[in-house]
Amino acid sequence: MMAPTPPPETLRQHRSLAVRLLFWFLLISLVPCGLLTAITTRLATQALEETVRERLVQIASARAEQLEAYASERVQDGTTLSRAPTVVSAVSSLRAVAASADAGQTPSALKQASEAFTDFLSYVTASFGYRSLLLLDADGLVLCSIGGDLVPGQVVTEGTLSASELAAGFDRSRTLLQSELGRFEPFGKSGEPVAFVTSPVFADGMVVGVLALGLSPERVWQVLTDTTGLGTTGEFLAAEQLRETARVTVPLRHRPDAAYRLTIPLASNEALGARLASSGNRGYEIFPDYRGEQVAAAWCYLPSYRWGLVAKQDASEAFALVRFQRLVIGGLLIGTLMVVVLVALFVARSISTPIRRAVDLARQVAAGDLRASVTSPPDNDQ
Amino acid sequence: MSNASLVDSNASISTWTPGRTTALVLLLIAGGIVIWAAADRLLIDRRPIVVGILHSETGPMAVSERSMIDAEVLALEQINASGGLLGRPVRWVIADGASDWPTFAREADRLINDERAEVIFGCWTSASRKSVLPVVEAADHLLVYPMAYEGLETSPQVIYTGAAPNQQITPAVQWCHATLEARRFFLIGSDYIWPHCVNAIISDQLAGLGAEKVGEAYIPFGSTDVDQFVSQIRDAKPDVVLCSVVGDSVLAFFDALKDAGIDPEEIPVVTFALAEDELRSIDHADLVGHYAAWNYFQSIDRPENRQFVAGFKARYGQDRVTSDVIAAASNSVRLWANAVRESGTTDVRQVRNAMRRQSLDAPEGIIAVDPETQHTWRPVYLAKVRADGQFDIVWSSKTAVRPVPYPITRSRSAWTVLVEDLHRQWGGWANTGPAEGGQQ
Repeated sequence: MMAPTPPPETLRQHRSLAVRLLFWFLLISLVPCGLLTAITTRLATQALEETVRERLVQIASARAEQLEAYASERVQDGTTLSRAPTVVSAVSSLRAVAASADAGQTPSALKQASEAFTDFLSYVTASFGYRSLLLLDADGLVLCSIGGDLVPGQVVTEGTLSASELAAGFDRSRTLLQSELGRFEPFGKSGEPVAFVTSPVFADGMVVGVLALGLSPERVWQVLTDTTGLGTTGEFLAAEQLRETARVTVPLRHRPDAAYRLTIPLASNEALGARLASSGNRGYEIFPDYRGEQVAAAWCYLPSYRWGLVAKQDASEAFALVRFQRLVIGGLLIGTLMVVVLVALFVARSISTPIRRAVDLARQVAAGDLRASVTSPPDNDQ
Repeated sequence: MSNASLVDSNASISTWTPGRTTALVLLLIAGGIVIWAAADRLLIDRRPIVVGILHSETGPMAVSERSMIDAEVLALEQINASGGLLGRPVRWVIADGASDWPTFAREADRLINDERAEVIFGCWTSASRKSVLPVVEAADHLLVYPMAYEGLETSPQVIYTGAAPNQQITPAVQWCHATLEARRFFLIGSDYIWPHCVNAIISDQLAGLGAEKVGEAYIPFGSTDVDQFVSQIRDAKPDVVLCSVVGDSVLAFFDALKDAGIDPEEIPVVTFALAEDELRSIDHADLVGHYAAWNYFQSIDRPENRQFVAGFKARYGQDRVTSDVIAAASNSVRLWANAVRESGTTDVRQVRNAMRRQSLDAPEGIIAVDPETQHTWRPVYLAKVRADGQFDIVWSSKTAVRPVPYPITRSRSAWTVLVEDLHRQWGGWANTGPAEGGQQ
């Protein structure tokens, strides 16, 4: 590797050749590489975001379907039980007791007379999974009460009870002749939410009374607090519209005490999912939730409960994979760039040096110096 | 260039100017990026999605069914205006059932097998639906039926977006009993499947309420000879008349009532078959003061409804009105479109499944498809006919009512027997009588 010190312009030529080669190497390797990376990143990001959307929509729909099926089974329970001969005969005979009892004596007379049916009624109440059972006559008088929500002798269409969901359900079942699942509302002294399944009781085609089954929301909450598939930040939010607010009706992962306590103003941005869901829409969006956290959420409507259901997950977790992927691809790109630059630099030099020598030689010969000879490195092309 | 004289070829190598090659390469790269950016659009399926609309454009039912077609077309136009479905435009094929039930069945077959429609929005009368049903079921296809009807039917291939009996008939009877304090009811209907089933349901309810049915009569389909029925009503002295008379008979019936001096204040009629759209085309002076029960009235005061009414009038003229069937037809299209968007395909089975979980903030209130019965949760309204042909709402259910296609007063099999017996007895879905050989 000997060479006389080249004249300055030759050195410039050498550099320029090396830079030029380097430029082409980088262009040839990095542009397709960059383009490919950009394309795959975009496609992968789209696919990932679509997966998140599909997963949330699917989870929300599956839960909604499960809850609707649960509600319609409860309605069927009411229809089936109201046809049970024991129920029909209990209503008929207790009505007779109430009619014949002296004023003031009705509650105790009813209590005594209903003991004959208590065994059967307690058994079905427990085995069907209800917290209470009421038999009402066609005027709303409580004939028999299992589970202690009310006592015999009370009238559901009178006093404070008349504004309750129980009274509304009683009226619908008695007049529309159909079984109904009312809304979950805080009921009685405990203030725990209860929904009543009400069914008309027929004797000879006439409505003689109404059967009411008190349902706790535990089973519904169980379905909605099972956050399988929603990661470590996901949760289900169910809400109903109450005037200008959305009232949350289930315990939340981030607010275990939220049920019937947390309300979100409907006009606020945080209620987007709850608002749209509880007004009957279905959809998917990324928005800040009641905690101010950015979330990906899918929502749908539960007609049996008049609730909107939102399946949501923090965007940071839902799109963690997208971020991770960007990081990895970015890192890889920078790494590749560095390696390519180094290799290209080396290759450019190794090509440009012999060319420069040939040029030098030609110049020496042209100057009349015939002593010059070519020494080529042994590992070169020839 | 000082060195150009030394080695000629060296000149081009050594000069550092991005030449033509570089420009070409850069151009290629830019082209690549543009193609890639446009690829999304180029790869999308752009063929139109075909939708079948099957109603009577001719014959006695055309007067009513044409408005249903209008509502469906408008909803489809709105979908196309907002970019179509899945990036594809929607194309609709309107088939004419010609108010003739076998024609309905033939046209349904044509829409499914020849036109390759992905869905059929269609039918008004129960007779036409019952005729189309076997075709749709055999093809495992999808019919969306936007009309209030008698219930007593569920089919996996049908989504019912009109009222089940408990969303129209039962609340109306209840309201008469509670608010009008009616105890004596007279039931009158046209002589075909719908009124017979409706009146069977009402009879059960009256028994349950302890009210009295003082008469039940059927006017032959399309007949305007109604005087004997009006005198029956006058003699029976009911507190209220429940009317499921359809078509040309209705007008004659109300005319005759007025002529017989029956005042709506004394004997109000609650009709289950007359809405704004029918009142538009007839002289409705005879009807003022009577009642109708539906899931939708144009006078519902909701922003969603005001927008809906304005849209319909803007498209078809300020003299046009909206009614229950128009709203139901429009909702049907919107529910289907949402199901297509959600399932990301036009595959009939997948769309049908997605439809079973749809809900909508519709003009009349929140509506939702009930996954179990494939009927639709809808609110119920009862309203009084005004002099201008619109209705004053006198009662509403406030929230959507669960659809119950089979009323619980009888078992499902008992209802099925009732329907089958009528079918066998008539040899069709309407009582044409032994003398007449008209339509089934």
